[in-house]
Amino acid sequence: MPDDSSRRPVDIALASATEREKYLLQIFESDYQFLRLFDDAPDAILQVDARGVIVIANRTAEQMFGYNRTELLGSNVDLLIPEANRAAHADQRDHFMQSGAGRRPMGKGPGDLLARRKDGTVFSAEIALSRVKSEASLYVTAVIRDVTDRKRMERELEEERAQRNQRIEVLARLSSGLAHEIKNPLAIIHARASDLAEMASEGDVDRAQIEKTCASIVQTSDRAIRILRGIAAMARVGTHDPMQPASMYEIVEQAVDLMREQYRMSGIQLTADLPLNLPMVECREVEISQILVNLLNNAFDAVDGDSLSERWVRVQVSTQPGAEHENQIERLQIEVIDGGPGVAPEHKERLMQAFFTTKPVGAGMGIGLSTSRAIAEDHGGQLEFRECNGHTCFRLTLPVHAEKKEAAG
Amino acid sequence: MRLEGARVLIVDDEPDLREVFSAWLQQAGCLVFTAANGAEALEVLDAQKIDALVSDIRMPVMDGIALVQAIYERKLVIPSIILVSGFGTLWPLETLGHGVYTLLDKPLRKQDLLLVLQNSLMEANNS
Repeated sequence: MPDDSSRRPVDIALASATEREKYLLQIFESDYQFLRLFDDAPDAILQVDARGVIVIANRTAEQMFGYNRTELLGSNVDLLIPEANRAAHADQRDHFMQSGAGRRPMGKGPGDLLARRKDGTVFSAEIALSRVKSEASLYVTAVIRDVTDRKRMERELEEERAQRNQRIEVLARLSSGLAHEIKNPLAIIHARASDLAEMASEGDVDRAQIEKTCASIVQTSDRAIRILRGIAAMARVGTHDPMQPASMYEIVEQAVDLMREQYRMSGIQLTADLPLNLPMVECREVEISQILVNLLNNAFDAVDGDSLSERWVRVQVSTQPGAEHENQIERLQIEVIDGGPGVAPEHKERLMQAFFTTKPVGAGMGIGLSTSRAIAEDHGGQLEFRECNGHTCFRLTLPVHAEKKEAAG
Repeated sequence: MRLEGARVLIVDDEPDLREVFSAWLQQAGCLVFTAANGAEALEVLDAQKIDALVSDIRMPVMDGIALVQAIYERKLVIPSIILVSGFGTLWPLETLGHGVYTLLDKPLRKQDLLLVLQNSLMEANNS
């Protein structure tokens, strides 16, 4: 069979009807395949002329932007650009047309470009440009990728990383006093137990004394266990734990115990106002512990870092009846109030932002509050900054029964 | 027992440990004084004649290292037994001569504490 590509039009015109038909079918077939490839590409593909008029668009472009092809073709590409960026875009397009550049990614950094759908919504896009020269004029081909999902994943990764850094920072602080914190209770238990043994061997048994000594052993072991549990909570990633009913009394007590040594060493009074009959709260225990330790750490820094501070931090726990709009679900409220001079007015707004910090370099990344708030919201709760008689107060509120997302509304 | 009548100051911020150590030393015949930190210990030292000191290393307000240093600067000669929490304890070596008899690791046994205390008092009497 002769090679069709070497045939001149005149050869085909002279060929037999069957041969002509076969040849045309072949051309259709290969065009059709090319069209499929073009239309089904995972990225939107557009070609615009020197004035910015769209001359080619694939099916992915229709789906991505919500316009059909008849709307796209003949329209200016400005249609697909958020209003605010249009003027700048026209200048950049002219510049690119005149430059000798062949192919390059658009924008200054990965994912800083925004594109606009027909419904007015805007999404992050990555765009590769190339110049195409025909006999008469210049065209630009743009390959556009919607990176919304990727950006979201990047953000989630970034948050996870920030959370991990925060835990490592807390662990590093704690570890300096850790041996002491564990060995002190052990020393008490050891001494009490040897006293009991001595008492028994001497036959000098005083029931009241035994009772008191044993109570001290139990209490002291509990303290050591709480400290170790607190450390385990700091070392773990709790993000994927199931929501389970947990005792908020224990969680708060554990976090306070974990921080107590650090506070004591700096002579800062740490008190917890903990009612005994708190309800169970459906939560990821590890994550709530992490919020509390983070708040206690911040409070510590606020008091310790300022000579004008009163040297105390108070934790107040209470239950609050739920408001109408919260389906009247009872809420548990934990407030961490510090004796520091309060937050400067110019910092209040940015307080909850990721990476915002007023601490000196190296003294904490300031990643805690935004992450803590994200965790609280994920639990159907809130983390708010408030003021209490001029002192800083962070209030964590959690619904006693986590609202089921699918049941809402 | 050579501990009979010895005036010993126990310094620890942990009330339970002060209680236990006090009981041990009182049983051995010591006259026991207690303080919760280095600053309180210095107040006791100002008011009382003390033969030996048993002190925790890590305490709020004033720790064991600062206490030993302050005693040395006051030119008091008191054999001191310092209770440490093992690993991670960095005792400034240059102050080891400043009246520190030895470091003892927590938890500690009663007989070890009594023996070390006895030896430290003997050495102080002989020098």
